[in-house]
Amino acid sequence: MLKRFELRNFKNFKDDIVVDFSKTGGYKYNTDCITNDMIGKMLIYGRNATGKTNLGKAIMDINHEIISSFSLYDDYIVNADISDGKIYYSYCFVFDTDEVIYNYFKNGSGKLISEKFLINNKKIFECNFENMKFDFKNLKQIAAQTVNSDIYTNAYLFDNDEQTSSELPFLKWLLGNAVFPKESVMIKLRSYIESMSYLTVGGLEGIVLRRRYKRYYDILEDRNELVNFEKFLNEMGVECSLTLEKLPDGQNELYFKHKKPIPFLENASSGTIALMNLYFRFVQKFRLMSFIYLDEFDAFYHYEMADNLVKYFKKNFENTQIIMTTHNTNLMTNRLMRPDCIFILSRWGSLTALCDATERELREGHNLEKMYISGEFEKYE
Amino acid sequence: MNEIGDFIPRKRSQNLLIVEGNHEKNIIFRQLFKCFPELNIDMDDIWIYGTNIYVLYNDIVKEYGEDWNVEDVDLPFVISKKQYLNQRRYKDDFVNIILVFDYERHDPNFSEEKIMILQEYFNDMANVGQLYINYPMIESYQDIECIPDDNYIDKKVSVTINPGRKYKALVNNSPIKKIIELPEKMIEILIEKLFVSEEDGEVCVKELLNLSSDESLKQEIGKELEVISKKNIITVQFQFEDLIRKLNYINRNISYWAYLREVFQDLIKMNLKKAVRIQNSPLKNFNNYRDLYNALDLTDVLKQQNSMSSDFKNGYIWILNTCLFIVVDYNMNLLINDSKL
Repeated sequence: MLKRFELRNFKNFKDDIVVDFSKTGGYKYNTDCITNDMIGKMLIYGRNATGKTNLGKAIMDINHEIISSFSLYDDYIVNADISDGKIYYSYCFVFDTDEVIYNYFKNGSGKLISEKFLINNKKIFECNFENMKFDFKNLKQIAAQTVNSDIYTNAYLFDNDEQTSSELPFLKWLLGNAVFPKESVMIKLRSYIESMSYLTVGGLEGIVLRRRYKRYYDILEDRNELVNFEKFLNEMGVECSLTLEKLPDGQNELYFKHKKPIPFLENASSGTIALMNLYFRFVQKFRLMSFIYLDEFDAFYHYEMADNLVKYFKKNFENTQIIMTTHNTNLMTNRLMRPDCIFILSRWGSLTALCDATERELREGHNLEKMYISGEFEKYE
Repeated sequence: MNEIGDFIPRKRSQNLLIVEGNHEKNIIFRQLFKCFPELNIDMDDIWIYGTNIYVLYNDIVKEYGEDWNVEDVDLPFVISKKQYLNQRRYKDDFVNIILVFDYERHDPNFSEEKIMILQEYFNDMANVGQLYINYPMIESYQDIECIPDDNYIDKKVSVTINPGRKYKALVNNSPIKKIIELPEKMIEILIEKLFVSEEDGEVCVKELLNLSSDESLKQEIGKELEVISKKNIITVQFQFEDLIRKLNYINRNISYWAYLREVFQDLIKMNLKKAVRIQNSPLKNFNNYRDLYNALDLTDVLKQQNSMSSDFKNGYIWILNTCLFIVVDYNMNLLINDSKL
């Protein structure tokens, strides 16, 4: 699990911003917000333009660096007020009893400058791409017997042509080229990073990608899948029944079931379309996601639906760490969440849990939404 | 009249204190908020509204009807509507709404039912508001012989003693009174003997009460006095030194405010024990003050008080001050950690 994420100089975050999943407040209720003593379900509030989206993109950076090499951002990523533009990322993971720390620096255009990898506070390797210094002395600690790091370094020292990307992180190379024992922490790390995901529910709406929906419809050809999807929509408060028809050209088309069927895509509300995207990204496949960042996750939802969705996540994604950003203060409640799992992102880029944003002892009976609105946490907004 | 363009920016984080009309009683809140800066309530930046509990009850009924307690009552709205012609204030701008009233068994409007509905409804100072009823009246916090006072737990007063002058006379010699009224007294002396303005007096006394060195007390007092007066300060200097030394805090090298904080903490502890005792819970069942606090139920306290005092001849009222619970309602740790000021 991700225990701690630290970021510096990224976009609007001039100072350090820390997301600490291990800092729980010991509340005895809504324990389903907590997974293995860490925050499992987190809500982030903040005024507009405080960086909720940026924070999500930054956390996902490790996934892009190590797994997909596809980047969510390609413009300026360094803070515009910092002269020596180095962005610092630090991830601390916990897998059973092992603590894994991976830190790296990037420059303003996203090029890797250095990386450092530690297990249980012991340095396993360190690479500095500026002065080409590499330290692989402790690789044997992770039982990476088969790995020949010379292959990696040779690529840098002697093969400096265009074909080798000077940005290939050693961690990525290692995870792809070494053979680790099954129970190795490296296997767990890889699978965690691989299963991280980011979704802007709001942003997807409006761009009707027919291709995407065609894929969804193909899945729904399975009668059970159609029933499940319908059930999900009903559970979220969208009362409807669905039917899938094959058009003469062999394409599937989804309809709301009525005397005269109504085409789904053209007639479904923004909220329903958003739900559909969410469903096919996460729910339907029920992939074992490790981490999901849902940006503005309920922008199109009625407050009851947003409520249902959070409950749904808590019930069905028990082991997934989910961060949801929202402006919906109705979710800021002890019915659903707890003060150590609700955060405020301030205008100057600090992230504070409600229980740390006031001197008042926050208790289960408190009306957190009202307190937020009346300025209880004003100093941290 | 609604004037377009007359946009007043919203001011949040406000505090509302609803009390009996009598403002001389508010000294306890000034001191309490000063001793517990964690509460973030500045007595000079707070809306104080004086009323009677039954008048308030009627005002609420007028706005929300007889079944008002199933509604979301907005006290700042109710009060502002009554107090101002065209200015409205709303609950959503208030972080704390505190109601403090005397039990007033003798009020011709007294109603067990109404007071109970109010006590049940106003149960959260960060939301609708929290009602604190003092028995028989706010001065009950002074009703002790020493600090802490083991006899306090059994202390009651006959219903036949009307609150007001008679009860106040009973607590006139309280050690708490001497402590809490020290700043006022010193200001009075300054005005009377050194002819300084009230404003200068307040500033000077604030400095004097921050003093915490036993050794240099006298000189420090002299220095502060010389700042505001060119007259002969020696008599006042002696008098102040005596007043301060009598309270037995400077010998521990702490300030008056740190000392008063401790006193409040002791008073809160005594009243917590007392409240739970009134609720008929044996004290031996509790390990610590947090457990005690968790058992505290102000509606149960009121129920017991109502039943004990219903006989107008032989009935009695347990002495209890609940408005001090503002501190523990805010944060129980303020009772346990007594950090110095």
